[in-house]
Amino acid sequence: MNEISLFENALRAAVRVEPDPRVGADLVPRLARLARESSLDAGAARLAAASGTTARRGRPRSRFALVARIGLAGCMLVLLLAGLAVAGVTMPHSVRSAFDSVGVTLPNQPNDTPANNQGNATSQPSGQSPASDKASEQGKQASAAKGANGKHRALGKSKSHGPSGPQPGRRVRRHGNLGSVPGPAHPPQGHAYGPTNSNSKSSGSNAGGGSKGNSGVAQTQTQDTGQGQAQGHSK
Amino acid sequence: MSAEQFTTLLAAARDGSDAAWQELYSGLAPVVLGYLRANGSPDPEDVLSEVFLQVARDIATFDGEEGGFRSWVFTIAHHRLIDARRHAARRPVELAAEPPEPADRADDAADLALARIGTEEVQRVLETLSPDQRAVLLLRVIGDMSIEDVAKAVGKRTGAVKALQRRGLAAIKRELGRKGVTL
Repeated sequence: MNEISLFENALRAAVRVEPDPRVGADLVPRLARLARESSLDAGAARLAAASGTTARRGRPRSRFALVARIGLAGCMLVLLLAGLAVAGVTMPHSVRSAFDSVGVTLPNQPNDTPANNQGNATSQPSGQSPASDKASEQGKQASAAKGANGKHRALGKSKSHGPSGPQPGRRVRRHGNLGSVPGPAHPPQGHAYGPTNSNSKSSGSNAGGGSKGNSGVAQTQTQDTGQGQAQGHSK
Repeated sequence: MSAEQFTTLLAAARDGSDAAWQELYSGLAPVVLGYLRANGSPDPEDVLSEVFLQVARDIATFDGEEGGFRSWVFTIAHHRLIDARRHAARRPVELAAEPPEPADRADDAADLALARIGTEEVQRVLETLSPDQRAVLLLRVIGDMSIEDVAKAVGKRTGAVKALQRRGLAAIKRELGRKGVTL
């Protein structure tokens, strides 16, 4: 290690070479002038940068633009939801309630009554399997066989476009074209359970297709639908 | 030079004071020129001028103390050395034909040993090193740069610089022992 340190000292002494003094005499004034110019340029650039920073520091325009952008995005969202509602898309309850809270009723939306909510809730068999469809079809056939005895049965349809709107419990007489007559609040005995899988099927299918005209029927068949499906599954 | 003195000197150099630049040049030019010569720079006086011209151009952007300024100048010198080598299209390394004598001699034993070694011997030992080892050792010894500063200057990682320094010192020790140089 001693050799190395001595070599380092020798190196420091050996490599120290005095440059030509004439070169230094010519170079030093050039260096001073160049440094002065570059310092002036750097100062001007610093001032420009500082002024730019000051202009940016105010930022009323950019802040306003940010708020305007957020507001525009909110308006676009509202318009998008309203457009979807006009197009017939059923909006979630939270969206409808938000619109209702500001006094806007979205078109083409189901009534927000508790009965409807219950009907909607039970008439959305989201996980209905083909097996249950098959069982429901069997139930429908059995129901049709019973209905052939002259009894009427609820078809699960109602005149939704009539002037009076949907009426709960209306049944359609299948034969005779006599128009719909009000039916009982509960389906007749023998149609409600078991073989009344036709009701459950009609309710299920109507639930998927939209509940505009079925709201009245759904009120009377909601309970039956669940039990009819349950029986179908058990088979 | 104290930190306040160097700050004043640097501010005067930025303002274009000839005296300040004369002091900076006279203090750094000999070691920078020695570094360039020891590294086999083609036309080291010309490269030295380029180094100080760039220092003058960029001094407005420098902010630091004396040691940092010295490292900064040596970093510029190293980069200008690489450029000069590229422009010289790989000419063979030619050290100074007549290496100068040591600047001053003292009476202590170390300097007496130095006198025995001689400048030629130092140059010969340096030639046995690889270019990277030589650059690292010269920046460390002549430029008084830290490992981190040398790593930045030569564009290598700290570990690589340490390895180059260790191998370079081992090669120097081996060469001195092989030639029977008594230090």
